[in-house]
Amino acid sequence: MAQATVVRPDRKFLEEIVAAGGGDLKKCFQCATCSVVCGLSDAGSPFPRKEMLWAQWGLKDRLLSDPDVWLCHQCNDCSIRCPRGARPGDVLAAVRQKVIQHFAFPSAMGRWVNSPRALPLVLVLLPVVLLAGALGIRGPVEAAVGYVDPHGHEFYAHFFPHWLLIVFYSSLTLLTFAGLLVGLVRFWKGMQGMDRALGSRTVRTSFWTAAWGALKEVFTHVRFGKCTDQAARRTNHLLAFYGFVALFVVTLWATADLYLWPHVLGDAFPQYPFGLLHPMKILANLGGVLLVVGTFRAMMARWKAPQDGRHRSTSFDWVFLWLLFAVGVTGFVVEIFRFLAEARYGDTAYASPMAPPAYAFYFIHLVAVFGLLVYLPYSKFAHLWYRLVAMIYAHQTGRNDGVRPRERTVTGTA
Amino acid sequence: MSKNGKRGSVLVIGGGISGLTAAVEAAEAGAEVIIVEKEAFLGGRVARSNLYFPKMCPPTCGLEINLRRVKTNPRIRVFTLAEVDSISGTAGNFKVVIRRHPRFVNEKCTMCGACAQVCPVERPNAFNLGLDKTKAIYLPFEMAYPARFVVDPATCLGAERCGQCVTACPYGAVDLAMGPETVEVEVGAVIWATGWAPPDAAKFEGLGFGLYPNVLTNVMVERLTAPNGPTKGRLTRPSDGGPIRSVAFVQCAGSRDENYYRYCSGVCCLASLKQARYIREQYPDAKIYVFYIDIRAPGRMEDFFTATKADPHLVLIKGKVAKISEDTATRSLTVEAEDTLTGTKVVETVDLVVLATGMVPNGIGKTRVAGELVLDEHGFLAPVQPMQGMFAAGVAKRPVDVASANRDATGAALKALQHLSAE
Repeated sequence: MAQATVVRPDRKFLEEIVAAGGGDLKKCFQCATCSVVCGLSDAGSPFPRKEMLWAQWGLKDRLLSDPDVWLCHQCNDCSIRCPRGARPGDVLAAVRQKVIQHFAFPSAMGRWVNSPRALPLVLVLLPVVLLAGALGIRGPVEAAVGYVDPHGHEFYAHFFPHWLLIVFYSSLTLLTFAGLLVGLVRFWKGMQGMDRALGSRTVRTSFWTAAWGALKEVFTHVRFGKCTDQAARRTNHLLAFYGFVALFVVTLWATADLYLWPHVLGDAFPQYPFGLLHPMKILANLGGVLLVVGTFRAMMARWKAPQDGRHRSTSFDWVFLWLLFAVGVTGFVVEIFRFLAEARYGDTAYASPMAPPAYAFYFIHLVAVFGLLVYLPYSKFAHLWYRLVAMIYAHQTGRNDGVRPRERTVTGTA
Repeated sequence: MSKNGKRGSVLVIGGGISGLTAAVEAAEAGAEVIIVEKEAFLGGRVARSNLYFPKMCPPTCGLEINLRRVKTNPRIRVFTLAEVDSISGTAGNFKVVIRRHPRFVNEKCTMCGACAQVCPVERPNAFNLGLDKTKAIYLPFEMAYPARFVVDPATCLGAERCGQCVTACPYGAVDLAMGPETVEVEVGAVIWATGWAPPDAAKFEGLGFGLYPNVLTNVMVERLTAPNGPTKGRLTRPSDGGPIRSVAFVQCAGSRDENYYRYCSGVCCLASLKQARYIREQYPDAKIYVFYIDIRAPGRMEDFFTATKADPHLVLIKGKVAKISEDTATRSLTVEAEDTLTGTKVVETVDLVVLATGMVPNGIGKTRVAGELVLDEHGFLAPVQPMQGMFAAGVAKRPVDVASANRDATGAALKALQHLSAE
């Protein structure tokens, strides 16, 4: 018996994808050149041809629960060879943006963080108010608990004490990570649910084996390396990725150095602030350079891309890149200020005339860090987690070994 | 410089099937007609085909009848090896300058071939798309009209260094001293039947034409299956002459593609189905894959499609081939596509790949025209020209099959005649 298939197009979602950079998707005529020229596309479940059809038909459920969207690195090998100029690579990037926003928890954050009109409020006003508020309560809190900051005469801790920094960012970051976790769990369940509904789910390995496989791919960028046309983007991404990882490790170490190691390891700690030759300082500076160079190169590539027609960028991409770049650059400015001030004024640098401009930059640095960390689940930064989860799912369901059972393509969710 | 031709005659640019049809229709209605053909023979692309679809009869069917009508009609004058240099004036009173290249063989030629036997140099045979060679003095093909040998000046060593053909010819037909000639004529109307050329398939990324010997184009397959072709009609693997056990037809190669040619040529689907039948006739068990975006078999062609599709060893796969690779040892080819009906990738290894390339408008820009000649976005002549008395016929206007070209050319002849009688 033939089964009736009801396709329920979501026009609004279609329009959202168009607005998010997928404006050429309706030009697609389903020749599937894209799926063949894509170096990442899997034989059993090739993309992005099917995603183009789903997008044209406004099949929101399909796209939201499609791991393949996340196996794409927007190298645009497909868009260059596309006979219709439908730009599948840019359409998938737009879909990924919509997925992040869809699974955002609380959902209002997903809309708000990515609304271009709300940008000044989101990126400047809110962090400034919150950080200023934190500085405002610092004195009363310290007085109330009778705390005398042992780091009070350090250059930057004098302005924004370590304890406040850690309490402020840890609490906010934990909150947003809780939100991220909710989104990722929903995403995972969505992928599972769709595969079950289509009868195409096959579990090939355990979650942990799949996670290990995915992590290996993330740390080597081996999949990114299969892009041919814009091979340099992998280099840029590797630089920024490892730069960020290095800085993240240093931040954790510095926190532990101040508040954990003294209790565990004894009198040798804290060593903070680290000298220039301290291994953690070397790692930090190296990470900073990688981050700045990587993001700068990525920005230049995106800047030039509209001219050669190779890449399309949206505010989603630009805000993320600018934040990373700003964090890196202000980080170095702040570091240089400290070394200069301490070289000239020694232990009283915090009271020197160099302190006010240094603190101003430090404040900007903290605002940029806020933008990066606190909005992580809602900004492009979330791609790190969604992509990882999708890659784990892809490993688990055998997408990468090319033997996934055939999937019927033209059935809607009736 | 000779001054012949008269006001009120029709100039037909191009001696292919459209030009011939337009010429005979106009001439049989009483007009004086001049055909200008740049090649040494009439018949153009149709002369190079093996069989017509859907009737599967040889092109000589239509061509022979038209050529006889040309030969027997005193009102038609044919200039081969000639190009229209310029057109000035207005409808009813065009002044046309025709440049004639020397043939180096006069009308005494009997096609005995004594000249070619002694000729020491060879040239790639353009009629067979370079798939074989001829001597520098050659007969374009056995059905050629005018039925005369011709010398390729680019390869010929010349009378001083060689001249063997001159002495070998028992009729004194070879004259290597012939020079170019310019002819000026006045005509009332012009029919552009400039036709088409196949595209350069080597520029189609990923398809391996020019890199892998077993990747052919559809026009090459026509020559390789034609009884008068370089292989006497036997299609084999170009790399080793081996049999064809499997073949993949790649539809829309360079067509419907904004990187190359944006338009659909409208005949390649039928051409591939026709060529699938050639292969089936020679190889009863060969596996034939046709990779397509859409099969465009309009009107009565549907029957041809349905009948061809019934072949149990013919597999239609909806998905464009975007990648072809070669096994360097066996020279076999691996084609890759996504079967969009199942949503999985299809990878097939085959003996031969045929690229279904389209038709590219040809030679329109070579003539200086005192007035505006309007082309469409793809380089074909617009159906309506701002200059009165200018008409396009056949593929010069848009890609069509032979039957449509003939109908179109008949219409163009009528349009041209109207301009003459209006004078």
